[in-house]
Amino acid sequence: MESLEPLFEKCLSLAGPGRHVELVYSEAEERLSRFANNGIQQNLATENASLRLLLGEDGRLGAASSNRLGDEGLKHMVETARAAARNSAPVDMMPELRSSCDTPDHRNLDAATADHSPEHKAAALAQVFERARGAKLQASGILATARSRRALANSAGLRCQGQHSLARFSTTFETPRGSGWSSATCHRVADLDTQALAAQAEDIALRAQDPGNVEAGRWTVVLPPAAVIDFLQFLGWMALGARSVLDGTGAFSGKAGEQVFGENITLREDAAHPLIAGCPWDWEGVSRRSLALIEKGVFRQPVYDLQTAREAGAESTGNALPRPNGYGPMPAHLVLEPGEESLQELVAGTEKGLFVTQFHYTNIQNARELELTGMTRDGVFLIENGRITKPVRNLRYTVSLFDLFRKVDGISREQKLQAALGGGGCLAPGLRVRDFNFSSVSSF
Amino acid sequence: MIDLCRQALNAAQLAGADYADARGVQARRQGLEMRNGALGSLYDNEDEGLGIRVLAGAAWGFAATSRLDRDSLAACARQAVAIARASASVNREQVRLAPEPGWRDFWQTPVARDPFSVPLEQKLALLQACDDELRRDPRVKVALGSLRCVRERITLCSSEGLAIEQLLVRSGAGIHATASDGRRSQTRSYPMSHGGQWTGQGWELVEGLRLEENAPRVAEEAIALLSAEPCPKGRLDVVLKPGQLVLQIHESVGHATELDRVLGFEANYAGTSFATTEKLGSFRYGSPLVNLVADGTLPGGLATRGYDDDGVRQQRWHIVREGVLSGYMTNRELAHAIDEEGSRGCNRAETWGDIPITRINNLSLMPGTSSFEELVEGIDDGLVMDTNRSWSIDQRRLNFQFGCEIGWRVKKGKVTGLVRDPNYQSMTPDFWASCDGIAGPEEWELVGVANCGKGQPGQTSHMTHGSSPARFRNLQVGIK
Repeated sequence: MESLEPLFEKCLSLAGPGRHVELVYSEAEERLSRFANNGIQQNLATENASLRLLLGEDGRLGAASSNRLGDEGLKHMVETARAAARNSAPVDMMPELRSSCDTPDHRNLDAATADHSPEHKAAALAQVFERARGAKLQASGILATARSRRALANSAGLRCQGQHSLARFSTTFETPRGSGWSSATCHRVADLDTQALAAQAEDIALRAQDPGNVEAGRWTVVLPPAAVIDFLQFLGWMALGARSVLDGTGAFSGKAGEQVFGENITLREDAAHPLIAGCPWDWEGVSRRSLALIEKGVFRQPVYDLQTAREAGAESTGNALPRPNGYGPMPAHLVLEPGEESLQELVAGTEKGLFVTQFHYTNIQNARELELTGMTRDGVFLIENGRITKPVRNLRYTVSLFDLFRKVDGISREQKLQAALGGGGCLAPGLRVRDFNFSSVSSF
Repeated sequence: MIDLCRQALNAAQLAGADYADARGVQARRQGLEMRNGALGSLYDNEDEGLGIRVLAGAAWGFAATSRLDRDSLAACARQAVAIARASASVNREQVRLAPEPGWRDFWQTPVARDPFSVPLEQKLALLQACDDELRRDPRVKVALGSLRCVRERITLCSSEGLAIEQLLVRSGAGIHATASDGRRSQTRSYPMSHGGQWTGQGWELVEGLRLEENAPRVAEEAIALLSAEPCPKGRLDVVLKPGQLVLQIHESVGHATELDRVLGFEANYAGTSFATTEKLGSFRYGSPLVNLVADGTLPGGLATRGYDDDGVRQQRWHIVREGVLSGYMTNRELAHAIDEEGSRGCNRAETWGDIPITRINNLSLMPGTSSFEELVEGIDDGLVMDTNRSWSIDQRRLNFQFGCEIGWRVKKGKVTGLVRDPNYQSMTPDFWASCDGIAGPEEWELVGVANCGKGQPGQTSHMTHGSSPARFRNLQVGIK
């Protein structure tokens, strides 16, 4: 792996001595086979590397970025940032620079994943297509592998880099009369059992054919981890970054220490969780802390970057995005504490309810109220007397997460990871929720 | 770049490609955002690279690189062919492309003033002036203004003799204010939500928007919404203004008529469509008033260009004619599925590193003969809604629910007051069938959608939708 030091030194030299300089290097290679109708429809390999510069000069800031990393490209990038700085308004104070980080060389990179070829993918997918044809179903989805390298450098001496790999498989098996789905993400392609996942999608699809009528209204629902992840990610974006809390516009503004969810809900930001194994530092080079954001239903704190921490009189939690940005810090490694029951036991303990495979097109209806709407997808099943009995049509939900997380009466011990390239992830168990509001029904 | 494309094509053909195209893109994207008087975001990005798409064994392979030296391009081309062969090893269906002339042309977005030539100082001064206006009342907690522009030089060559260069320019601008009283938060945007208005224009877009003049109204409306009545629940008649109706067009017609979705290519991700091909020419999509026209030549449109990334010249055609499904968004690979001889030119990629996929073109609801006032006068009990806030639709594009930033109550043909958090839900054919009035061409507006996500890996695309205000009867509103 080529050292980045010459690149960083060149940029620092071009920027000139005594300047405030922040550099973010990003490099990625992805290989992705996309399939539909039991054939590969798109098949790609792509590579890119780019550098982002934040330059402070005379109390002003300018930014530029480029993937032209030769001498001419770098020179132009520095000139662009310098021109932007000259034209900018003065800032109150320069952003804080860290001079070192605790883990300067982080590696969660699997060579076999980085080298996984189109031929490997085609061989795995041939079996998936064979399974689908055998069941008279159409398979679609992706099988993807990627590697990334991210590095930070600044004029205060900070140098750190992280390398990651990611493997993803997602598949839908369907007929026009119903569909099933499964997916997994992990850091090593060897951990991705594509055939077991395909079998799971096939099983759901076959059970989901010809769904029956169902009434909208309040239902007890059993949500597997994939459905719960959807809610956690929106919760993070909407409400758990410090910016909206400090502005007074967020759902948790002024609610530190308040019981906002049920006592059985503990949500942590935890890059160090062994299943996530995320990058141990953020885009400002600050070490990521493991901390409870919601503890036994009580809102403890949002996540901070250096700027919002300064405003709040708190410490950065290591959740900065590249600066400058208008979003502020964001959680990127949410972990909802698991329970002790199995998903099967959650179903068995349900007299009448619905089992949802996953949600689709979730979107924010009212961020202040944590109100979301979205659809079910790829298999909704009626639960009667503790057993899944038959498929029903897809429903639209309109729920407030305040309401939802106060009505959780069962949490599974099974967890699922949704990992992101570069080290982010979300880890969730399944949930059983009372009085979940389905506001309308679709026709299939 | 054209020489680099030709080198890549040559390497692909030497490696055994039956068809190849090479698309080189040099892009510059600049954006700045002011948030409560401080620089919220600032970027000025240069990006270049080349993507090579090949057919070998009648299957696709694609490889892309930012390394633009001869050896790297040759390796990239060979990789694309190897990938295509891997695809062919498991595929039973063979790709065949609709015929298209090997155009040789140059096309560029007509621009009155290059947005990159406007000094950053001037842009920041405009945003600062807007910020000052937006935050005069302390109940406004967040004031945001943004200015963005993009320039892409796209070079496309193919083994069929295609050689096209296009210089595309887009600009975007907008402001918004979020007010809070400690209990509620309400946001108003101008001229659109989700980052403002985007068009295929230069700085003249920004000059025409009069952001600073509109800022006081935006702040006042955000504050007024804090104490407005909540959206009533039930079935009411609704007039949708273009700030909402354009997204309705986008989600329930645009995506539903992308032929790749219809044929199952997006089944695992964005979904499929209820508007299946046997319905073409006969399915009643909406009332006879409803005419929806796709137009890749629309002046100022975000999708407007000379040619798509298949090298197909841009066109104008009906998607829905007098309420009946009449066409699809197509590309060269899929046109044969609806027995059309040529593509409609809807294949676009976000960057050089992305495979072109079927995209919504500019798509507009044609104006009617009514007016906003007449539409409102025809309502006994109902609502007016404007400016999209939230959107969600099922994976076959049937059941949808939209929320808007602002609503107004209508009683006996008169607007009676503000309504907060308005939303509505329906099924696509029922919704368009309930359209019984569309305002005329003098109220027709274009709105750009710059955040349309699709594909795996995800790609963001952009297109413009036009509409006048329109009335829809008996919609479910106030969904909680």
